[in-house]
Amino acid sequence: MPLMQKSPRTHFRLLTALLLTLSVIAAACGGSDPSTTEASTEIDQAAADDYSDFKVVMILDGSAEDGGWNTTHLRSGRKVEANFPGIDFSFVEEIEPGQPATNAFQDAVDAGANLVIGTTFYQFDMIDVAAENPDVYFLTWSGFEPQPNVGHFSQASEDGRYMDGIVAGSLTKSNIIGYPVGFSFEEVNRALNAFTLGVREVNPDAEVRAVYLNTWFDPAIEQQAAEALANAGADVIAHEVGSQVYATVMAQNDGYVIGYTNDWSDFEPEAWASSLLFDWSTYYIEQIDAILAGEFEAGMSYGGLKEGWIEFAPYGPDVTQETLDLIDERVAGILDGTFDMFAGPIKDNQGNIVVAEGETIAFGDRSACCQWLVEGIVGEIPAG
Amino acid sequence: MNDSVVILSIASAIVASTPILFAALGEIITNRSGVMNLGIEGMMLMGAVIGFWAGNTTGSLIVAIIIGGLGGVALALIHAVLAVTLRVDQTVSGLSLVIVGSGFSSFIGTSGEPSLLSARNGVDVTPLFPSALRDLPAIGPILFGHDLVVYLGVIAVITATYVLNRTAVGLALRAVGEDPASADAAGISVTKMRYIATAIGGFGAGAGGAYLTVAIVGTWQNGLTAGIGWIAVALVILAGWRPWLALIGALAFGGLNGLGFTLQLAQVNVPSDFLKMMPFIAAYLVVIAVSASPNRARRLAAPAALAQPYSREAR
Repeated sequence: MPLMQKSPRTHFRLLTALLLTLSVIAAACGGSDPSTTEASTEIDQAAADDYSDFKVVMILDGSAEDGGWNTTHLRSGRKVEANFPGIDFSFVEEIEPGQPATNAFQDAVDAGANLVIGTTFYQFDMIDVAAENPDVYFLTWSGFEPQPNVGHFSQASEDGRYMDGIVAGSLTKSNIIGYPVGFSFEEVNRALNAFTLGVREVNPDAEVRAVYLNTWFDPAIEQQAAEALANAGADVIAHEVGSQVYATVMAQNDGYVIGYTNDWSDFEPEAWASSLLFDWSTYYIEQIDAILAGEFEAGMSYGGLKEGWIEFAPYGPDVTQETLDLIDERVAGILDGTFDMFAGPIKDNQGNIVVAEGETIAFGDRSACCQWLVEGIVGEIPAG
Repeated sequence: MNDSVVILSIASAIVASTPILFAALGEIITNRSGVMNLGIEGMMLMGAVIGFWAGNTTGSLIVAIIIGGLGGVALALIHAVLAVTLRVDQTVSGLSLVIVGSGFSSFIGTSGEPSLLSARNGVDVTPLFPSALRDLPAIGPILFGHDLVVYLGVIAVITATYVLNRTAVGLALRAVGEDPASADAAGISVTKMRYIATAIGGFGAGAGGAYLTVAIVGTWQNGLTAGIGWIAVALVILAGWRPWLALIGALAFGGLNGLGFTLQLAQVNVPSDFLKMMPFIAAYLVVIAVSASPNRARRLAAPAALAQPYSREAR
């Protein structure tokens, strides 16, 4: 990510102006929050194309500039924009699940959206809006409640996570890899398991230490978790939905960081290792094509490498050619069906066989996995 | 030995406690003059974003802390005008400050192209002492391993204790907070004292916020402080408005999150929500103890005129 490019003078002027405005804002509205909802609407008026009647609104749960989950969704949205000339694409950011999300979905419908895309677990927030507006289509991340005008989607992050695990397993010297995550549920456990299977393929002595933060995005908490991991000897940190704080802490401790749909190769180049990247545009574009053709099908879509939903950020300078070759082999194996990371026997970290010899977890069943942590993970699924 | 989890965790906790210490120390000064400012969280956020910007622009930790402190002062002066001059309800004004500070800091953080959200930390935080001292077994990382600002926090505690208890200015400040009418009669300007004390409180919160972004987290995100300001509010009550007790309390609470993760890694699962409750439960217990005991603990009670606007005519 680029450094600040403006001259100090420009910044000073900006700041002075802001400080002057502060008193006005404070006097005028006292208790109101000027920035909780920032809508940015970009309508391409120039192209009077076939698609100019089609309005897409994307609802992001965090900042579009988080450099991770939401940035990836917005980038995919931009690809949609490029694919359908003239399409009316806009987004709203920092919409928390709950009443704010319900309002955002309703606002999008009121603004004339033909398709509303929700990028996090908005299932319960949008369900009534979708039921009341059968002519509008909705795509929402995860979720399960079937509705004729709603598509659910979830990513097979294990396809990318396995490769990140190979990188981590080959880079660690202390054989301790940290993995802070927000909460424990199937998608998180599945990704953590795939990551650990990748680690253990190249380094059976390494252990992955899971830490649960009880928050999705809180850099101050993440910093303390990363520091606790570094203090405990971790020299590689991977994570799920976190900030670049992990990169900063690992850079300070001469370790490596693995992103979760983050590209921090420019941010801390020395500490950078790898990251899967999600590309949701394939799915979005397919769905819009289907809607326009009148062939929309509701239900869950699940996609990984084969479906074109996953790609990789540039690998870090310390990732060896040997590692890259193995990754290429595994990616090719997933694409042609010759490699199956969940092929048994697989033990959980309590010593129980969870996938027996000769069995596997079929691709279609994976989204229901896992309520166990694989051997090699130090940590327990938190109670409750 | 200096690689042991215990020593490294204590060192991490000392750094993590510094923002809380600065904020609590500032609030103690403000409170001792009779002004209650509940807007610490908002002032910290202002300091955090402006300090991060200043650190990026200048590359200097101290400049970042000072500019961040001034960001806190800007908000604190709004509170001073409302609470001291206009005699608005101080709770309402303080709470509004949290909302204004959180919104305005997010606004600053997202304006500009590229915005501060994607900016990397421009400040290289270096330890104050030479490696000979830092490598001493055990006490090296704990006592000598930190940057200048951590030690400034300790100096600020000593200075605040001395000024409050041993100088004429400190006496005047306390007089204004205990009995503004008598202080006024003695020729002390209540308004001036309260403005200065509120500004110092803002500076402490802003500097603490700036230290958080520049020296600890190294990045800016909306709402970054995530409740640290409220811990500082609880800590002031818990410390009975005594700077040195605030130092001890900050050390205890600053390390709470880190402690939770260290325990998790040691396979001891303490729910993190339970740890997060600790400062507030402790503050409750102290408040109950103070109000239940007849005299000795009274000395740890709030300044008598806390949150009471002073009007000469209203006597």
